[in-house]
Amino acid sequence: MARKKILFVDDNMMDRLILSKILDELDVDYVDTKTPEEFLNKLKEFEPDICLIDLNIKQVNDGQILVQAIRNKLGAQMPVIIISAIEKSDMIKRILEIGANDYVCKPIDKSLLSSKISNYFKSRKINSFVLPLFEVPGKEDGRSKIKFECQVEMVNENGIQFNSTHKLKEKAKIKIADPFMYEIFVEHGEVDFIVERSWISETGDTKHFFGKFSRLSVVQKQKLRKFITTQQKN
Amino acid sequence: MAEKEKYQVLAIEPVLDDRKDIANLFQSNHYKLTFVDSIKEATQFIGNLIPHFVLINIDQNPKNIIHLTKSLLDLLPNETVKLCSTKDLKSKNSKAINKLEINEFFEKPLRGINLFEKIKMFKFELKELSVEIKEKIIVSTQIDANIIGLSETDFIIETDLIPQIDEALIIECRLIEAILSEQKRYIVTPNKHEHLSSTMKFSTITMLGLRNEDLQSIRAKILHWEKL
Repeated sequence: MARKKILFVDDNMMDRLILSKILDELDVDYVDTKTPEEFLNKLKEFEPDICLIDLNIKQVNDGQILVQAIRNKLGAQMPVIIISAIEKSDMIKRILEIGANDYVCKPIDKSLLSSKISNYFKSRKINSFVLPLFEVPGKEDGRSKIKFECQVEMVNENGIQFNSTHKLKEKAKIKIADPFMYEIFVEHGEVDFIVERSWISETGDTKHFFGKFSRLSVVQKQKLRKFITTQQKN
Repeated sequence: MAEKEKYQVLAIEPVLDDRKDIANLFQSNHYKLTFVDSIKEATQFIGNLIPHFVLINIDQNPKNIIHLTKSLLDLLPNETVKLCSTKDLKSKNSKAINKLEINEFFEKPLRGINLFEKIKMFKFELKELSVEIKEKIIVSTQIDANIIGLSETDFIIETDLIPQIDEALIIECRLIEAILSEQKRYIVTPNKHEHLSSTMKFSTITMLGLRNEDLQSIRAKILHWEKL
């Protein structure tokens, strides 16, 4: 099997040395570059499997140009991992918005970088540095919540139709705690739904689901009828 | 419709004898009948509760009965069954009100099997209230999930949400929050743990922006579990 190829850019000599040392141990071919220009020149010639880009706060715009150039030359699938000392979450968000796939904080840990790289290709050598996935022992420990936003499309007496960027499985239980629910039911803003139907629009870009109210009191149903009537008249 | 959720019937009928006829017409346990004397009272009632049926006696004193009836009908949703009753279907008021959006005009007395059948038919044809929301209303939603596996850089989550690769997710989990130094960003990445993620219920979530101390905490946690 051909050795995997990694191209990286880092303007700091010391960091380049550390990164080179780590990559030496990972049994991959790599090319280190000092400047964005050098990086871009090597991009087409070296045809890497993964690009690593070092960024500092002042270079975020350069990073955007580099990621864009990678996408243009080698396609949207090329994994790009940003390595940076930036730890502020809004900056990390901005870095990811420029189109990078992943982000690793400095100082670089060999195991962490190996694990990140192993996300994109399998290599026995790389995987030997990575601890395997461990099953969480207790169900209680892993209990969690995913929060996401939906847009209300239609309200009827049985439930609400939403669209969302996420697809939901039918019979999924969701909870909506939002002022909009308070607007309908006046008393409290938290309502449970069960996804009755879930579908993707014909164009394929919008996901819809119909959440059925899991339980409503007679009073709540009356408030819902009042709300729908008011909305109809508006 | 469950037993407790009766069809709400609002009858605007000031004449006591005629109320008996209406009570007979809606005698089934499926209806909850409310009588009011005037359109003004009916308007107040609708402010709190939207009826499934409205029955208006239009033979009332006010000279502006047509206008009042129209105003009342305007307050009601399209799905409410709107019925009117009168002693004289040929009167000027009857003809004018007949042009409004009503479902049926009955001539008094309100008796007979035909009338009963008609009400039954309306009951079966009742539609649920529904409205399209035109303004952009975004609501925050949450779904339960369970983290079933943890590695140094990612975790496997079991959930009824089916996210797309590269999507960012907001996940709240005590386990992860206790391990990591601060709230991280999580994105969905291609699955590399086939043995766990063979169904659509599982997604691989990568933790972004990890630092060395995060990694040490994760390793410590995994080693602690291994010893259990």
